[in-house]
Amino acid sequence: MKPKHIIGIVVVVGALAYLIFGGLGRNLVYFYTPSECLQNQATCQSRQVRLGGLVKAGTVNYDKDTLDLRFVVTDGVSEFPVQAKGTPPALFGENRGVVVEGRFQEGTFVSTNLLVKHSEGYQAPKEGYTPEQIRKLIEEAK
Amino acid sequence: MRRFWPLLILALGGLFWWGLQRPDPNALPSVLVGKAAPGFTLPLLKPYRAEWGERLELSQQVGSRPILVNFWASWCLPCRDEAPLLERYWRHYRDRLLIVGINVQDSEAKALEFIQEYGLSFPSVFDPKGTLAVDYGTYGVPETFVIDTQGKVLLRHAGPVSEAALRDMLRKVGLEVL
Amino acid sequence: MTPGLLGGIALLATLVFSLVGLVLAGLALWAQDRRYLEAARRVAPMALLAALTSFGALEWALLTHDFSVRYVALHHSVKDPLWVTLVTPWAALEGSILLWGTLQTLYTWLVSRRVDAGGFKSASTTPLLDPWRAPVALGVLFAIQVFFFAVMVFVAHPFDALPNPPADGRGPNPLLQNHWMMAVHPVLMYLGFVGLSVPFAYALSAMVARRFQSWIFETRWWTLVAWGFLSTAIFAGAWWSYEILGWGGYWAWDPVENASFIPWLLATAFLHTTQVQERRGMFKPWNFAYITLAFAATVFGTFLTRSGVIQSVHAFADGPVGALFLVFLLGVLVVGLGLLSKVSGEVRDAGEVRWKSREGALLAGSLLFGTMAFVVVIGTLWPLVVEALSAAKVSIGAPFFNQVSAPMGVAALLLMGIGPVLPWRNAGPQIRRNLLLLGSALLVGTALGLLLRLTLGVSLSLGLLAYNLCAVGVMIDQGVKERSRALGISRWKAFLELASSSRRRFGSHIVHVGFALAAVAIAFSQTYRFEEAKTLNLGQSWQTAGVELRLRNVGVEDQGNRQSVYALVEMRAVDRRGLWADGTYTTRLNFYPQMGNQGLAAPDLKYTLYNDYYLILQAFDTERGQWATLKLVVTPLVLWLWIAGGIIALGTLYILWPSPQPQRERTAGGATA
Repeated sequence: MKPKHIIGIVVVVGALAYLIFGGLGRNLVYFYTPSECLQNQATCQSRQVRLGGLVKAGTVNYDKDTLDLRFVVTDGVSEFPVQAKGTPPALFGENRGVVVEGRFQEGTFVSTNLLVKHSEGYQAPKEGYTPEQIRKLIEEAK
Repeated sequence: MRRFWPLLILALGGLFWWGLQRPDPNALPSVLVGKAAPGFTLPLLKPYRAEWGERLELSQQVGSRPILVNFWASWCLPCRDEAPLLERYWRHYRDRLLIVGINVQDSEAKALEFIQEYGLSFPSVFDPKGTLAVDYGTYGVPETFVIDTQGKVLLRHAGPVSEAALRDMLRKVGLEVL
Repeated sequence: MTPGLLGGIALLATLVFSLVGLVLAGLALWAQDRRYLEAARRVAPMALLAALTSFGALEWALLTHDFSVRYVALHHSVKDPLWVTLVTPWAALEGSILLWGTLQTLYTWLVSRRVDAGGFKSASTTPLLDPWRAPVALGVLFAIQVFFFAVMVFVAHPFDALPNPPADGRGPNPLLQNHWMMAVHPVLMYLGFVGLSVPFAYALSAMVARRFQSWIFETRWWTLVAWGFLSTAIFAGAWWSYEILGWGGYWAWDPVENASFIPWLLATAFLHTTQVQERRGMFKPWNFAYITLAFAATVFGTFLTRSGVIQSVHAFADGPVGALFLVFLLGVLVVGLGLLSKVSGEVRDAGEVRWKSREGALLAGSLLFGTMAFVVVIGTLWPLVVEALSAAKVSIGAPFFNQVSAPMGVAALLLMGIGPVLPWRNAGPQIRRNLLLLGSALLVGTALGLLLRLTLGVSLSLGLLAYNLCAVGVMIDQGVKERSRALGISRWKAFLELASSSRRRFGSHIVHVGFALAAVAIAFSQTYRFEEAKTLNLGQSWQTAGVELRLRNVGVEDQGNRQSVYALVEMRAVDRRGLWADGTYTTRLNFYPQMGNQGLAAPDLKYTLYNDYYLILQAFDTERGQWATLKLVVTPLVLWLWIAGGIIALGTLYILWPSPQPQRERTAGGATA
């Protein structure tokens, strides 16, 4: 093999390794509970993270016209205020598990992505309003 | 490369094996573990009133033996797997462990049918609105909590309990399991 | 006879037949006796018949609502429409393993028909599988069957009984019954996965019998079929995701998507290096390695999605199935790579590769696809690695995959155009004119994009499309010129003759153009996506992104297995950005009894040749039906992505379409010469 080729291969492999492993490092999103977030404040407060916990009862505030959703996520020990944009998913509710992805801005966690934690296989068939109730409610209104 | 590929496969296998063994990464830890179990006083379902009275109060049962609280419903298929298992262990361990069923979001008639079908003799209380399920922060049904003799939640298990998991729970509350 | 009993017996019978086939194949190899081989060959149709019976039994159980079968109770409901019932076998774990296993028996049977059990005479030149390799190839396929059916019989039994059957079941996961694509996508995927098992079995047999060349010709058809199914399945999956998941995207680098993408990447790499082995007898070790990895990747994908080892929105409940697939995966890797390292001393390539040649470009391309597969594997597994090393829970988002795959995609598109233009062995100065043409097409296309004020990436994708079209044009032009001069016929006639005789060349041109077009669609749709949500009262209008929306009505319909809440919206264009948006949109939230108050969005969307208008109903007034929260997603050129998928499928079909003249002998002969 000519030295020219070896140099070429080293350059290509080096660029690839940088692209892959550098990219992995930059795009790593840590998952923390509020308590863990307090313990790892440096990382948690400065970069994109996922925060998982329960929605604290009595803190949910959603405005359907501005689509602003505010609530407090807690793990029973620590808690953080969360601000999100958009309609909350159907399974979102007080005392329910939630995972928010985003970053901190001035003490508030600004979420860009909100996931509700639930085990799909074991959901009750009727929770909250049933489809029949929705139907009835809408029909009554007409 | 010719010499290294077995190592790579070994590393990959090891990583996956470890991945399979670790606890469910999706599960959020229960807030309740290590804390006092939310108390309740709920009406017992009919077959159990003769032995346990009209209502069952958790605080009165705490102390003498650990308590296994199982949330179930008749519409829940995995509960059908669990019911015979719980009944078997209840018959065997009833002096050393109290099993309490919490029937949630169900109709009384269907719940009674289910109890009869599986011949369940451990007491079950009736909670049609599922308010207790909210207090306990359950994901759904079935879900099981173990409460120690101090009244603290020792562990929670979301989803159906396998025999192995049940034996593991019993070991954790200090019961001898054969 | 109940469906459960019939299915259970048929399942056991398939396992027994597969085991017998495996043993007979082993005996045939060990004793070099053709009678064993002949017997093994005859077991294959029996296994197929038994597997079909058990698959049929599952359909029977579903159609007759036999809830004493656990699978039926868990995944079927009497309210399901007929088509949902028919596709329920692959709506969950046990059934999809049954589908996979059944397709495997089908392919094994097809291979068994190629076995030359005529005698151990000589190395024949027939396209049949000679008796030295046949026992291994059949044995490998039977072993795969044994795995699948043993998994079903011992741990994931589709006919497991439920002692106290309920009156009605829960029905399949609503996500899966919300769109007809569910009927198609998994079957295509499994056809592709299973298809790769055939070249894999041939490769192992080639290594055992130390006949390193001929398997490449014999599996050409299989490889292409498998690749075609995988490609179509990926496009179908993206389309399903776009129409159903209600977020207005088609690809999220979710582990399940990656699991289908990795085998495709490796199969693509394999497909390209086989061309070189066919033509020049080179890259033999590469081909053995690629097909082993590609087949292993199909198992890896299933392991990932079924074991819950990686967090995924799709992951099924865990259980011992994951561990078994892990063992199978490691087994495939150890056997394939082990055999390769054993014979690698003998697998010598004839000649040296020059980069500036067709084979050089093909090697570079396959290396690129191999690297891409590595990137996807690493990105998918990285969270697990980090967690193993540091106990921190992490995830790798889509940005990583996008950042890495964009430059690699550009490199692949560049190679795709230039590779076929380069001559085999060594490119001389004669190609300079062509390179100049290609280069200027690239520049002109990109410059045009920049002039239209598109971003650099999008402009580049346009340039690459022009470059690839130019490459195809150059190649066709050359071929037509040569032929018309040599045979003294008109150019038009020469073109038609060429198109019908060199199907492989023309088909690959079509497929390549399809990918260049797909790249343009991806670049546009990823760059210029617009989305906004707003709550509208009845009659209220909303102007955004060049359109005006007006909420007309909010209501509900009873559709039997679900309640469907709908919002009726009128949309009209107000300026050029809203081109072709006009129309009435009915966007829905479907409520399934097994999902409680969690509605499943069924967005309404209008495809146009320019923008897609995608309207999602997010929330509504449950009390009086007076308002609804709507989300509008406007994405350009998504339709072109599906068109590109169609072009790719058609191109593949064009290559596979049986020729009127016996082309196989001719090209095979030409290739070995």
